[in-house]
Amino acid sequence: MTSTTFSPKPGGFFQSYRTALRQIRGVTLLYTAILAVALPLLLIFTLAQAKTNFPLYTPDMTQTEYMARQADNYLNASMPWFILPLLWLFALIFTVSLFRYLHDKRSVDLFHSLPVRRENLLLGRLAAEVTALAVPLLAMELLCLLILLIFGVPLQEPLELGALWLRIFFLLLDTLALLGLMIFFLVCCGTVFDAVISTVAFCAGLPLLVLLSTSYVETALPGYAGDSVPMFLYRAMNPFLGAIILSHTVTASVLLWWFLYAAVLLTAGVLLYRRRPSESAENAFAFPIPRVLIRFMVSACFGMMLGLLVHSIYPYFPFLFSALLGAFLAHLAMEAVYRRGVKGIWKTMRAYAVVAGLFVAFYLVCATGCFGYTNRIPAADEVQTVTFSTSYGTEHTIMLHTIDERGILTGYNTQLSIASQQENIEKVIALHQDIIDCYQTMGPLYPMSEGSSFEVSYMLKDGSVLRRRFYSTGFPADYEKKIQELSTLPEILENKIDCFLLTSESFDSVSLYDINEGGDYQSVSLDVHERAALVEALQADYLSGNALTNYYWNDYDVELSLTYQGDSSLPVSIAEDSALRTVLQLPDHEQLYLRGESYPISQKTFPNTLRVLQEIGAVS
Amino acid sequence: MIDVKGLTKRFGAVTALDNISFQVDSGSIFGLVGSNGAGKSTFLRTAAGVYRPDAGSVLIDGGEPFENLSVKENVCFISDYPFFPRTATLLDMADLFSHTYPHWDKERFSYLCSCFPLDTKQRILNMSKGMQRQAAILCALGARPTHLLLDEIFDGLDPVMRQLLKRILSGEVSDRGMTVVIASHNLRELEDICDHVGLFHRGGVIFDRELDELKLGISRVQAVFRPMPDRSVFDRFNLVTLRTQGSLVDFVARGSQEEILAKLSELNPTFSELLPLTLEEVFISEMEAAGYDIDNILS
Repeated sequence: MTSTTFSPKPGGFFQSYRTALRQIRGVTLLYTAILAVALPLLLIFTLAQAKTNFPLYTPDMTQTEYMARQADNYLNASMPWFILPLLWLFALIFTVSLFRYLHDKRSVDLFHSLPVRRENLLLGRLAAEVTALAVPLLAMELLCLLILLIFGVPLQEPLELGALWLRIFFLLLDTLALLGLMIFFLVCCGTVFDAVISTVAFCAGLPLLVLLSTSYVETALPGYAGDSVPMFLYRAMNPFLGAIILSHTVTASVLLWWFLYAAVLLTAGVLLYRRRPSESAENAFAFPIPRVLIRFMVSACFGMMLGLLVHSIYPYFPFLFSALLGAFLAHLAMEAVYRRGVKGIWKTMRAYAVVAGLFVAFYLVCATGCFGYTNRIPAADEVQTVTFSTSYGTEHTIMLHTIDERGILTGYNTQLSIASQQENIEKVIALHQDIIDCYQTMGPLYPMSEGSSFEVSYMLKDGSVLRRRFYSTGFPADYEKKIQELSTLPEILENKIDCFLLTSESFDSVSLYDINEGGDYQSVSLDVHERAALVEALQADYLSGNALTNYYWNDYDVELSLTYQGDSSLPVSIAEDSALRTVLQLPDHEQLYLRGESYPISQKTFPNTLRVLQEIGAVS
Repeated sequence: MIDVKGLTKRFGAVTALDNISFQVDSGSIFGLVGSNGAGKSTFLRTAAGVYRPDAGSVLIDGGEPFENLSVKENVCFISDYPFFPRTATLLDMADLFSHTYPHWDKERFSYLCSCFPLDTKQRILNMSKGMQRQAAILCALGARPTHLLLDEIFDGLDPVMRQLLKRILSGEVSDRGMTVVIASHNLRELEDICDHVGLFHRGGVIFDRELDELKLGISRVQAVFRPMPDRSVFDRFNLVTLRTQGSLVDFVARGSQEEILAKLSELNPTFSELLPLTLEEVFISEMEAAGYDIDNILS
């Protein structure tokens, strides 16, 4: 008589799932035990401690509210510092345990001869892994909520349960993306070693490639302002870096991205697995994708790294040579790792030639100004406002802020020189053109950038922004003189120095400290005319250039501080059409404040201000 | 029935199976013999659906095994080094097979467990090589396959277990028409159990024939001639090998014994003797005829 325990199956998915779950049940129990300690047990301790400490610390809130805040803090803090590393660690353990069969000829013989479809074999194991990772975590989180209820903490504000579940969902999606990445490389590679090397090289190499490419372009392409690369590029394909989002708010778009990323990787993994030759187990690669990708990334990274390093140490050595040398050495190293030796390594020189060719092309594109990128300059009548800064011109900073009804400050700071008047825009464009002309005399290959910088940003009337940054390698001989002239233009000063934002209503008293006599600060109340005269005198001293050219904090007679109703924040009024308002994107309907400022008054630097102070009898 | 047509399998620059064609009838035990690297294991893996053929096909009851569940449900493959998960016991493996193969027979498995001296709760990887093979055999036979593919299955089994295995396999073949393909270098064991034999060499099939026909169709002759005739007179035989030493001629020739004896009597030997060949001798003779430099290897 034949007895069978078999039940109908769609290609063996559930059988594969069940077998995999049995295979990792021991490790799953360990993982669950660690989670049980980290979440419910420590939450109990946290709540018990909060209950004990409540009378000592927070007399201004209820005990329930205090306990809820403590619990919320604990649950949120445990995610980036404990739960996520734990998920990554066990994801690695489970993945190696469940998918190493791909890299062993004997296990491939068994599993590929079973009547189970390959995609179901892979997906069943993946589902088992996700179950083993997610179910204990979700169960422990639910247990935590139960514990909160037992302690009498209602599941409402200040507990942010929605945000908490979003973050848990993000943790799981981020881990799923990591699984997708690992499985993709495990399928493509013939050994676990190659898969691990490839995964690590991909995770470290991609952000490094973006970073080095940006640094390289900034150095090699005159005019390129490099800090405009979005952080997304660094984090988008790396689940480890992607987890940085936990320090911010998890949004739906972030969740969607990681879901799609994981889905694409897993789909690619399954599709490749269907075509994966069984005989590739224990060989180097089933598919050449990772090898080509990783070899290119590592070669490009080391090439640029060595090129930039040599350039920073000895700028006269040609960048291209050192970059090609670095790429060559990295290519050899990667091949030696993948080939487990150097036998036949010279056969891969064609692949290196591709990298070298790309390097040369990339260098030529950058060093010749990237098809007119360097030379592009707007016409003056296209420009609404222009801002510029130099790497050493940071002594004046405007720091504005608004204060909302909850007392939270929102700051708006700038060290930029801002111009919107046509003749001033033309002067900035003229300096920009001089720099471009200077570069063109050095052509056809522009030199690598180094030294101090001049950055200019045009806000165009069509709403776009044109930013360029140049280095002293390409500055004209009279650059210093011209930048000085631009920096002391009245419009520039008015948008750069805080006293030009003051009116007689911005302050009601001044404090004075006489450095020669010492003692305390002397507070003096001024009437509206005296305040207006003081503001006018301060502005006159800056416009005359005295306050700019002899600006030494250790060489003054009196320190002048302005205060408004005893507060150091000074209310200011900025015109609706002000260039400063446009550049800083200041809010239209909120009161703006300036941080109270001190001025080092001396006869040499602030003669007009000193005269007014003497006239009103504030100083002798 | 296993129908192999123009089957080719390559591993990079190496062609492991080169356009081979033959058939294995249902309800037969087919022995695969051949030199190392001849392609026997590659053929078994391709027939089991582990490898995808590069060209040609291997059809099991009319179906391609690669990613074909309806075929693979009836095929069990035991490789030369059977794999078991690190912590698996025989019961764990039976559980895997019972949930994977539709015709799993629990009673049959229990019966087989009583025949083989194995602890079903012991980790299989802690067992000896021979016991691991027994565990693989138990699981495969419990799945009640119609086609059983075995690679070096006798390796590591003690003589008693070999006899037991042969008896069980013969029983499965006679009782329910199971087809068995065994690749082995142990020609003595194959000789006992196989009814058909295929000889692989360098990715090709030199012949596939019924064992009895094979053994009857090739004979070894030792004869003494005085005087020794010219070597060309032996061309009348369908020679596989020929050696002469003084007046002694020792050759292997294809053909029926009667035919060989008739031709031999025409040469009037002083003394002649017709000897039956063991499978091992057939193998060596055929390999030698196929260009396998046995003398050089053995010297």
